[in-house]
Parts: sequence; C-alpha cells; structure tokens
Amino acid sequence: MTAEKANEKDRFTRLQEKLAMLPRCTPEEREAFAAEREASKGTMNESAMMLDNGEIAVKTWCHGHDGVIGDGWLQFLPTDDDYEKAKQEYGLNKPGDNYYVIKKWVDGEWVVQEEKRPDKPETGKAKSA
Amino acid sequence: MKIIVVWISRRGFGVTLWLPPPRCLILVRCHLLRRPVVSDQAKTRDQVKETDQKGNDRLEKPPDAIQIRNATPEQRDAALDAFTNKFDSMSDLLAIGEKGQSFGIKHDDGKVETTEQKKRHKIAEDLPPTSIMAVALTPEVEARTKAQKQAKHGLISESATHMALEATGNPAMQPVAMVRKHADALPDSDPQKQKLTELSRELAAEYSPKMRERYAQERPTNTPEGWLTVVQKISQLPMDKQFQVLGAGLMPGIEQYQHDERERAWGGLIGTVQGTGEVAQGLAKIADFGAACILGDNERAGKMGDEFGAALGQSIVGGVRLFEAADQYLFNIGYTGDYAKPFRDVVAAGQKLDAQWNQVPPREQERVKAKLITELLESGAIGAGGAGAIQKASKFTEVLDAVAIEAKALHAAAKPGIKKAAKAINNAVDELVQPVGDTGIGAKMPIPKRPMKDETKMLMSKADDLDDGRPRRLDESGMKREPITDKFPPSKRFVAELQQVVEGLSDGERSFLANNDVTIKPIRRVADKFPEQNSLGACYDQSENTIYVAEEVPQLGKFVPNYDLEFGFRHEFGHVYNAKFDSLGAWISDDPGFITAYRKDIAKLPPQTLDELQLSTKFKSVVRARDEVFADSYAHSIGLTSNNSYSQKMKQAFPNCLRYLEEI
Ligand SMILES: [Zn+2]
Repeated sequence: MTAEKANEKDRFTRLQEKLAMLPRCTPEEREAFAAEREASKGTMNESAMMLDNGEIAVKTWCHGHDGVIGDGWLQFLPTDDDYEKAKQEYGLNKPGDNYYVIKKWVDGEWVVQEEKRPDKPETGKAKSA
Repeated sequence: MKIIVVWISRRGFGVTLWLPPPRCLILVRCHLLRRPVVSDQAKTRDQVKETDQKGNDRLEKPPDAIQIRNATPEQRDAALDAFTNKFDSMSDLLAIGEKGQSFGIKHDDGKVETTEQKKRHKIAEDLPPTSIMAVALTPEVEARTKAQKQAKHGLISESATHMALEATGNPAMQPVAMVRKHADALPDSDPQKQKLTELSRELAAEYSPKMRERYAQERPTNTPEGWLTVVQKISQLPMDKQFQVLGAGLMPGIEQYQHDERERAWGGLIGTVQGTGEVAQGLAKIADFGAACILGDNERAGKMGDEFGAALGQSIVGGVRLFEAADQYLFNIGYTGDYAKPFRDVVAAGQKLDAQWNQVPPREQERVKAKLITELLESGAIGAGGAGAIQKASKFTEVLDAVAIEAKALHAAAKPGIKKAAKAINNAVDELVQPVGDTGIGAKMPIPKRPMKDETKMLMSKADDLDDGRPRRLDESGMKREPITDKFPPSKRFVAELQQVVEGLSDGERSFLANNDVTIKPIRRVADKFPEQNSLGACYDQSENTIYVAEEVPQLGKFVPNYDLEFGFRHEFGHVYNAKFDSLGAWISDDPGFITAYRKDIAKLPPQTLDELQLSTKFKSVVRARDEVFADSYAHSIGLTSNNSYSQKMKQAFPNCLRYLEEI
C-alpha cells in the first residue's frame, strides 16, 4: 500500500508537470467556454441501460440552477431484490435497452424536456432502440 | 483641488500651497529678503518682531565685498542644497555671509549683487531674486558647506534634487521641492513622510512636464510586479555583478552611505535606481534574519519569519540564487570583502533553514516538497525539470536554489501566477521558521505556528453531533425540503469510511485540495443540503468550494448506501481538479489537446452510445460533456478498479481522453 501510494503521488506530480507544460485555451476561448458552462445551469440527465449480463446501470448527472454539479450512480444486478422493479421503472427489457430523461429547471421545478422509454411511446425526439 | 499662490511683494516672496483636508496648508517662505513674508499670522507678535529683528540684524552687518564670478558646479550644487534647505538652513547660509563670506543675488537679467550691494540698494524694495549663487567660497567655508551638504545629503533623495533643480526655472516647483525636502528629512517612522513624499510626486508630475516625463520613465518597482522585475534583472547579471548588487542590497539600509552605495551599484548594473528601495529592504530583511541566527536570537528570528519568508520568496521566484551567490562570494572573495558581512548573514539564514529542514521527518519533507512543487507548477514558476530538481534536493537551500534556476530559465517573474509562487515559497519557509520555546521538559524546540495538521482531518469538515452510527432507512416521504444537514448528520461509520477514502488520495492530491481550500463534507443525503438535486450521490458546490459526499442515495423510493463511494469521490475530485488546475481559470478539459482527444473519441461513437452516456448535445453542452468525460477519465487514470459499469463504458469510449491524463 505504501509503495502504491508513493507511485500514486509520483503519478499526480508527473501529471501536474505534464499539464503545466501543455497549452491552455486562449483567454477568449476561456471566456466563451465559461459562458457556455454558465448557460447550461439547470439541467438534469438521468439514464439507465441494460448491459449484456442483464445488469442495469443508472447514471444521474445534474448541473443545478445554483451552479452545483453532481453525479449519482446506481446498479441493479439480476440477483437483486429490486431488479424487476428497476426494469419496470426504466422500461428496460433486454440488453441494449436504454432509458433517459432530460429535465430543465423551470420556474422553481424540474420539468421533463425529453424522455425515452424503450417500452412506451417516447416523448420528444428520441427514438426507441 | 490644489491652489498654489506665489507671493511677490516688495518685501520678499513666498508660496502658499493649499490642499483640501486632510492635507494641509503649506506656507513656504523665502528668507532672501529683509523679512519673512508669510506665517506672520501663525506667530505671536513677539515672534514676528524677533524674526524681523534677526533678518534686519543679518543685513545690518555688512559682509565683505567680493567679486562676482561664475560659480563652479560644486558651488552651484551647494547653492542648490541651500535652496532646497528649510528656512533655518537658509538662515545658516545667510549667517555665513554675515561672517564676511560671499553671496550674491542673481536677477533675471543676469545681474548679480552682493548682499552688501543689496543693502545699499534697499533690497527690501527690490523685486525678488530668482536664484542665489554661492561664489568665491574660501576653503574654510567650502569645507563647512561641504560638511553641511554631506550631513544633509543623506536626507535628500534623488527626487528632491531633481525637484530642486527643476524649481530653479519653474517657480511652481519651489514649494514642491521644499515639501519633498521636508519629507526626506522626516524619520521613516513618521506617517507624514510617505504622505508628503507622495504628495510631492503628485504635484511635481502636475506642475513640471520634465518631472512628469521622468516619472513616466521610471519602472514600477514599488509594486510586487516591480519588485520581481528588479529581482529578475539582478538574476540575469553575471555572478560577479550580482555580488555587487546583492551585496549592496543586503546591507542594512539605514546608513546613508550604504543607500548611496546601493543606488550606485544598482543604477550602474541594472539600470534602475528609482523605487528599488523595497527590493533592498527585502534583501536587508533576509540579512537581518541571518544576523539574528548568528547571534542565536531564535526568538527574534522567529518573529521575523514572515517578512523573511516573503522577501526570500520574491527573490527566489525572481531567479536569484541567493544562497549560491552567498557561498560563491565567501569562497571567491573571502570573508574580508566589502559585502562579506551581509553574505555571511545569508549563509547563516540558509544554515538555519537547512538545520530546521533536517529536523523535519522525511515524510513531512516529502509533503512540503510535494506541496511546493504543486503550487510552483500551477503558477508556471517551474516546469518538469524544476520539479525533478526539487525532488532530488536534500537541503532546503538546494530546493530554493533549484527553484531559482528554473524560475530564471522560464522567466517566471513575468508570469501571472508568480505572486502565488512567491507565496508558495513563503509558506514552505513558514513551516520551518518558528519561534523557539520551552517544551517544559528542559529542551528548547521550535514551536509550530500551527500544529501539524492531519491533512485528512483538515480537508474533511467537522461532522459534529454524530448520531449513533446507524444509517437510517426512511422512505422518500420523510425527506425535508429545507437544508437539514445539521439535524440529520451522517453516521460516524460513514464519516470514517469517507475519511479512509480521502486518506487514499496521494499527497499531491491532498495538497492540491488544501492549497485550493477545497473542503470535503460528508452528509447524510444530498437532498439535505440541496433539495432539488436529491438523486445525486456526490456533488461539488463551487460557491462553497466544497465536495459533498452523501451517505445515502435514493433508489426506487427508498434510500440505500451510496454506491461505489471511492470512484464517485475521485470523479468529483476530477471535476474540481479540472476547474481549479489553472490559476487563470482555464479548465483542463478546454485544453486544445484535450479537445482534440475528445473529438477523436467522440467521432467513433454511434449516436446511441452518446445518448447512453448522456453526451450528445441534447443532454448537456459540449463544454459540460468534456468536463464529465474528464472527471470520469481522471478517476480511471489513477487506476481505480470500479464495478461501476456506466463508468467502465466511459473508459472504453474515451481512450484518447484517458491517455491525455495517463501518458505521463
Ligand atoms: Zn460528473
């Protein structure tokens, strides 16, 4: 563990060194990117997919209206008690099925902009897998 | 508003300078004539009478008549000094005349009269003179004048001299020159000194185009940037020239001859004489610290630590290898050279640092080095070579000289992050330079200014009032819609678990968080703090600069323990690292190199994969997509093995982005 940590420390230092030597974006680009980030406030993504082994992987990503950025991960294995419930929740029936919902923060609450459910007619532009 | 009134009357002339409060009304009187022309209001009747009588007495005593000749430059210099002297200095000069020496009054038309002639012509009714000239001084008077000049010259700055010269042809500058002369004569401790000095500069720039031009040509050396500019210039000199400049600078700046010496050495070698005082003061502080070490006055040395560290930091990042220079001076020139004393002080300061460094456990040394390297890399003061040299250095002075070499090569002084670099060195020095105190067991040891902290504890914010450690399992209806983090703290078990995860960070990563004041806070649920983001397991709040990690996450209507805590935390670290790596605010995921890698990767991904990974533009903006890929790639790049299938898929989808962080 100590040796691993020592290597890890060296790795971070080396990364710092490498990145310090690499070119950054221009000040103009920096401002443009910052503006783009700012404009994306109030967005939430949630998606679930069924993998080849039947596992359901769920990911939530949120860029809050207050600027908070965060993530959430869930995992449902076929052996889990909640597995069937998860399949229903996300409408996933077979490996490769993919669910997602995109929400926007509007007037103090999350409003669904687009949702794709493999087992139901979708909303928005998404198409069934 | 400033008002300057030049008085001209039959009885003399004077100048009134009025400035709005809190500045003052300055009355300047010229005593060439029969009596003082101003300030009578401020004096008692008797004082006025006495002054008038003195003036009259001087003029009543006839001086020897002498021939008027052209004055030599030295005599003009004496006259200039006399001019810029305060009123009593003028009186002194007149008194010289009383003893039979020669003074003349030069009129606009070039005609010069002796005081004797003046008297005969009833000078009180004449127009005022435009200048005075000392002429045909006897050796005795010359010596006296020279002595006076030397005594006073120490108090006259170069600016005062220029102002006085300018005043000879620009009446508006006369009171300004006198104000400056007065300011120079004040002790450094007098708060008026700085104010009047600034005032004189301000007025000189306003009333004299020549002075204005002169100021415009000055280097801004009285700012931190100017400081660094001067130091950088010093670092570019050959070592023998650095000896002169550093040696002069290191000399305590109290004695005037040392000031003059410094002005000469610096002016000749680095072409900058104006405003170098702060650099010299900084160098003198380094020498003073060393002197205290030589005297064994550790308490004083400890108290001087902050100033010493700040001065040292600026010198080093300016590229000056101070300790190397001191060693070389003493080796090459010996202990009898002009600057042996200050260089010996520098060596002593270095020995003190090295001795303290030796007392630091190796692990702590590594921590200090890692922190220093991280901060210096961030600031651009060093590159990879510098980082390697710092790591190899065994003595602390070698660490500092390694930084100086690298900083010089990279012209670090011109970089925007340089103040941070100087502060980083100051911080490192700060860890070594501590007051010495009694430990209570008979041994004197350095007392840390702050106890060495467990960085994990420092990074982790306090989770007070912990409950019994049993995670609660409440259904979603139990969630409150207002922040209730204090009411429902995380369990002790979770705090310990997260603490273990934080301890798994490398020293460099922990230093990075500490240096950027990032706090890690365990909370029961994200919803306790951010009710609108209840489905998250961890988040970063930029406004509070805090990473929140939740003990529980919602899952199908109930709360379950946070899934894959370690990977999730590293992912959030990646977000913070991405955003805070560059002190100017450029995100790593916005690097041209990372953008290229991202584009390469994304070009190979089918739309469905992009949707699965929430990366197509309907999910989030491209900049946010890159940020997300960066955060995940960072967590993978350190070799974490995660069961998180979603992130495994990210890893497979973005090999070039991962390589951007892995190939080091
Ligand atoms: Zn994220």
